[in-house]
Amino acid sequence: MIKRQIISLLLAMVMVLGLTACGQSSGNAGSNAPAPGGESASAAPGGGESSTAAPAPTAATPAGKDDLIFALDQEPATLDPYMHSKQQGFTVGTLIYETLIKKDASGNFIPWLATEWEQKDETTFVFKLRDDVTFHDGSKFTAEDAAYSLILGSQSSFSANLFGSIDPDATKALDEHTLELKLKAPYAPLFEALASFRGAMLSKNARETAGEDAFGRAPVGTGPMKFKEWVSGDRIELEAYEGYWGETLPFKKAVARIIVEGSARAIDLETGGIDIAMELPFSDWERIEYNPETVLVAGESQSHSFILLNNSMEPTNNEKVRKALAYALDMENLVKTAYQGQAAVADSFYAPSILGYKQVGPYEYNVEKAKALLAEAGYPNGVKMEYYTMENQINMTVAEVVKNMWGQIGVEVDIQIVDLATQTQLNNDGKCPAASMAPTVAMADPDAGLMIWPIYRTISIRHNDQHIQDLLDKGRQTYAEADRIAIYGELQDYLFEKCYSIPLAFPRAAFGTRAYITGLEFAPSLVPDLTQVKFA
Amino acid sequence: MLRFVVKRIIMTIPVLLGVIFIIFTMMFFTDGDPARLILGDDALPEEVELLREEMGLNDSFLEQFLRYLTGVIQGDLGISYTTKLPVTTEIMARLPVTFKLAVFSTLFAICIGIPAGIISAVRQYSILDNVTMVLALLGITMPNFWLALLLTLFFSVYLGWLPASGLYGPLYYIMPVISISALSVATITRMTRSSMLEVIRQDYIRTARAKGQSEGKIIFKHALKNALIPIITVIGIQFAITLGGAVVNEQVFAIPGLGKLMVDGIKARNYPIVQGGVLVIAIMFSILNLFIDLLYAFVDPRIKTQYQKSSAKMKSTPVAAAGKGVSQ
Repeated sequence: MIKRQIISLLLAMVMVLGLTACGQSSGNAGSNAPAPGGESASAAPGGGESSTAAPAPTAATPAGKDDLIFALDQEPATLDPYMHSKQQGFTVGTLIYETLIKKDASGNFIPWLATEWEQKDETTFVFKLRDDVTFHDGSKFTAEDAAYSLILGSQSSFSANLFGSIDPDATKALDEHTLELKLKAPYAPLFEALASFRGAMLSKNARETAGEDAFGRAPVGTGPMKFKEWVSGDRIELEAYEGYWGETLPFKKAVARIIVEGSARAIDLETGGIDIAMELPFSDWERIEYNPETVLVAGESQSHSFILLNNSMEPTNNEKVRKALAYALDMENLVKTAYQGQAAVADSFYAPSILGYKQVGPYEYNVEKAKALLAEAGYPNGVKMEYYTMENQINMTVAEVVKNMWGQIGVEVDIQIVDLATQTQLNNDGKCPAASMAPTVAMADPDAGLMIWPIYRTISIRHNDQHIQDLLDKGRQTYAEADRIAIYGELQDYLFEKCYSIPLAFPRAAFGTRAYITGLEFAPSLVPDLTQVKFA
Repeated sequence: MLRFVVKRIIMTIPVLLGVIFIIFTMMFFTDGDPARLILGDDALPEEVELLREEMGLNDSFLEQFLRYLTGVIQGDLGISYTTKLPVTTEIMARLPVTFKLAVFSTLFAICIGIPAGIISAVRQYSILDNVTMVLALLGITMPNFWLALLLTLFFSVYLGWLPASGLYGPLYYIMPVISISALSVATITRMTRSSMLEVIRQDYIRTARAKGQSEGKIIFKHALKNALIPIITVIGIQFAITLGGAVVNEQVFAIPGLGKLMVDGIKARNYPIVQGGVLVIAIMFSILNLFIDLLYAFVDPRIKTQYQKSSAKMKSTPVAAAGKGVSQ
């Protein structure tokens, strides 16, 4: 009997050892531990037998390849560019839709569906449109469609932050190929907005016939690929549009697969099941980077994260308390821990890649000063606070570290873990005392970069400071670039001074491609232009 | 027998009503505003209010519940808040995938679990038995998403034999089926073993041996048939679990299943999807339970007579009857 038990014990141990060995050699799928995983990941093609069924030369495109398969991390609910604000939907949209103008690599606005334009006065712009462009349903693209699209943009709650200045009543087609764009007030970011993927041109006739919901599930644009099929939860298929006016793409079919799990996207990319994996989690970067068959395309996002403080609620309605909280944070360590070294400490209120960025921070790390300020504010024995966080890894880590650091000055933090729906509601009801947030910045313009600051916004910052709104309005309505930079510089200084919220990080982001994909550059908007894809 | 079936079907109606009521109430009182979630942080309060009105979210609990119930009775499960597609369309797009996976996983679990359990029982305390039991223990304790990841790393990344995700052909089913069924295989193995061990010690088995019956016949005809009732119960439960509970595996293998649809629905406060999904799963559970009860009767004539009696007067539940059947 005892002998049998010993045998089974031994067997069990062998099993466990075998499994752990498997677990180790399987690389750093779950963890980002550099030591053992790094070895297998960086192994040369000869050493690590990790190479898959892929053919020998790494960068060569598989023979006869005429499709592009890319994996999104979330399924868009609609592809109507004016009915959502999700980067996944816009990524698919880069193949289906086009915009009036585009921005080239050096930042100049270049003609696209519009051939030329002219500014008549502060609020009037006239665009001449191409006359050889057709929609996927074969109908001609006209100024009527352009006016329809932009008016839609000005009225939809999803895109009013970009196109809300457009006057829906006065914007109209002058003739079939001339669009007169009227603004309600001067709007400096207009061209940035028009050149971004948010300003997509869609077919008036198709959308009105199908209805806005059905159109979003079977969109009609002017781009090089047209919509083919949407298998709910699984994939969206596109096929080449034969009547495309411009240069055709190197692929005839495009498939957007929905692979929510980050490491699953990475594995699929490594095995060659997909060509591009969007939004790779930090833990997979190293493996994708060192794999000779894949390329990591990383860069700094145009969005930033911040620690929201509620200015309409005790104790954070007191400037001294807010500053005490800011001084108590060792930003360098906080950001390094939470973002695994893939983010810079945010030293201002929008990303450095956006016009007019000015380094104003970060707040100094000084626990003594923080304690003194807290006492001065009337809380010598500390204070209790709630901190809201969503259940993703970065936010949870931030919350833990913040709790620890604020604890050192006597602020007792109660962490509340909530899901997106709860957080969104609390936040917009003004009931969120403190939280880490990372809203998506819609375009590379300070007006969008500062999108959390308008006074009418319902999120829980609730600063109620008219001076901020005045500066925002001024910046928005000033066309001269130098003047704009000065205005936004003043605003960043002012926000730093008031400390209504604490900037946290400028995070990096990355997508991965197979080595034979070239031409696809990192986009700070995290919406790469898939029409750039070339096969090696 | 037929009366029993009809009666059972009628009895599922209050159960389903209860399920609808509970899930509706739970969703109603959960934090989070679907209208705000759809429109995002950028929307103005007026816009959110307008959408809430449009979606009927401002009506009282009773109004909303009655409206939903009327819809369900007419076969209309509502419209998904996010995609604006009918809930029935959304569910029907996912159900076949989930159902296929559940069937394959259960079949796989039966094919492996029952033979392994029988061998373990017949060769009790042998090395084979010990290995099987350790493996079964692993199957139960190992998180199956972890197994899923290990499988992908091994078969997709290292060997390159199997596709890592999706469900676009027979090869794609192999890893999901193995990882989803790991728990079922283990549970069925253990149940088969213990149930067989109990039966093998019975007097009638000794009698069968004494009269010179071949060992194969003893095991399969006399022992297994009598040991089958609790095994069937376990199989039924495992099948039901895989129907709604394979969410994590669906995530790892990027499979558009029902579980994933519902979890997304909960996250987005997409009430119609969640309610519809739960309702469909509840219906399938009910059908499955009925089917298993009927299977008992097929396997064990004693239970069949009980059903015939109980169709006149339903007193003892089939499961209790099954328990009695085994412990005899």
